[in-house]
Amino acid sequence: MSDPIRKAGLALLLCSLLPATAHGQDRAALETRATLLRRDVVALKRRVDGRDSLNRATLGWDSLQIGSLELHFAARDLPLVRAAAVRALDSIAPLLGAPGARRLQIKIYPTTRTPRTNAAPDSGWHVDRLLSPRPGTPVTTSFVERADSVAGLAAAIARIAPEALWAQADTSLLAWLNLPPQLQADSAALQAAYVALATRPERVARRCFAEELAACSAALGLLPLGTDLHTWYDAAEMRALVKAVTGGGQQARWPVEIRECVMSQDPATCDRLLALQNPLSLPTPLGGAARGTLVALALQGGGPGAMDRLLATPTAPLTTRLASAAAQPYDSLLSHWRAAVGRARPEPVGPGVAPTITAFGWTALLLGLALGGTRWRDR
Amino acid sequence: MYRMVLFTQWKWGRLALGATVLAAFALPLVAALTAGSDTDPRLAQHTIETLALLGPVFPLVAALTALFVAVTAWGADHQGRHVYALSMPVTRSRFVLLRLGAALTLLLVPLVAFWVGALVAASATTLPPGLHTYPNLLALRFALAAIVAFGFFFAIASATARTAGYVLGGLVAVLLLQLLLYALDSKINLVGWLLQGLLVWPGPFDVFSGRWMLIDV
Repeated sequence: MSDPIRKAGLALLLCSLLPATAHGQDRAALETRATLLRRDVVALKRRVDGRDSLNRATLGWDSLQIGSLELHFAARDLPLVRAAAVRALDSIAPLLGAPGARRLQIKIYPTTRTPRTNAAPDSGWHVDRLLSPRPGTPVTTSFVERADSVAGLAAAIARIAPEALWAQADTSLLAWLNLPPQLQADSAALQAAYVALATRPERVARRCFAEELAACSAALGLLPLGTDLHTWYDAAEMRALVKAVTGGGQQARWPVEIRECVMSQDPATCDRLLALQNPLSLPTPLGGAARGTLVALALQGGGPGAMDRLLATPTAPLTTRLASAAAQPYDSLLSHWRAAVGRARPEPVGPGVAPTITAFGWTALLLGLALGGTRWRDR
Repeated sequence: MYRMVLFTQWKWGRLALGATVLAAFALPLVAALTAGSDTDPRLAQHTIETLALLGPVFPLVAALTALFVAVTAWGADHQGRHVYALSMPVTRSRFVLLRLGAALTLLLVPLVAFWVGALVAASATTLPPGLHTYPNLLALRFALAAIVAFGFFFAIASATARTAGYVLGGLVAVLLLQLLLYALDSKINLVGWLLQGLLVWPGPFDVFSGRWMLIDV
């Protein structure tokens, strides 16, 4: 038999024998083989993971990206940073609803990037805001101390990560806020709002401080478009403002219109002059910090899907959107905000109990050293 | 014996003490005058900002007060090479205790002067709604700062010139080392760590940091 024919015959014989062989193998042998294969997979995975770890160790730095947020950290901190990210997402996920949550994808990858500042890698983490919430907003980097550990990092992540959602062309909300929005009204933000409320010079802010809710709405810039200036400033304040923003130099050299406004006290001329100014250059009674706390309280009060409801209708009036996010009437939300800001009055200037005790402890130690010193043998 | 020590320390340091009493009494009044006294709510922000600028002067005066009192307590002893102290039939620790008691008594005078000054300033100030005066808390902070600083200066002043030299030399060494590290392009911030350790709780001078405001929200 020629060689090719012999080979073909052999192949046919093998093909006919294979099923029989397979059927002939007992169940125990197959299970043994499956176990061996599983062991191979585990071993292979370990080798891949090991090589990945080696890469990370070689590169030194790792990064974690969530939405617009990118974290840079020493590779060995990966479990810790991942725990912080999970905690952050847990805290903000209830506000997002399904559409929002889908836009927050976690991506982990090794990187050769190193921190931009001089801080040593061991001192903490860098949190970079890579996307600007608005055109022209500077890209910022913040630093979380290692001492703050997972909680501080989680708070930073929860603060910055959702900016990817805000950055989606919601110009009216972002223009009103003029700051990156916050999901949570922390005590520092509420305190800043309290200080603004207590110290702003405009009469409308004083009325808000006196718990007049209509004035709060006006001071926050939540009245219909174009009515801000008249609700923010009274006639005397408008004259002072015109003088401040346009009337520098000697009075004799002022243009006629400014003189009409400031000296002749003509309100129409003051209106006209202020209308010519860039609205962003005029001082707002309650600006970004106070407004941010109102948004944060609306989101906190609104519960699941609050942010989706806020972002659902970008063209609707802000009061309607905030009420929708908070799932309560706008007046109730405003009242809640005023009460929360009122409660956030900063602590008085005195030292706390712990610093007082510490101060006495140090003094006792120093004076104890003085009492227990040696005799004056030298000069 | 305590009365004699007190009297001699008063005699040695009465000029410096008078100056510190005057400064401590006047400081809250100056702060209140600078901030202005007006119920016009439009001035609230200006008041807070002005007082915030004056804030660092308060701990500075507290530290200087403590320095004057501590140094004058030991000035004559250092000049006389401690012969007077060594000639007395008391132990060193008892003598130091006497000096300490007398110095603390004298330190009380500027502290009370500051408190009275703060109370006078607060009572003479009319403020718009939302702002409040805090004379007692400010006086407490001033007293704490002065006492801690006094402990530090008294411990150094009561020691030998060599010990004081060690402390000063240590500080200079840290500064020189920091300069050397900068020159070597190192990122180690020794001065930053030192300040952090001293000025942030539980550091000894934590009470010096924070807000020093006679008037606040």
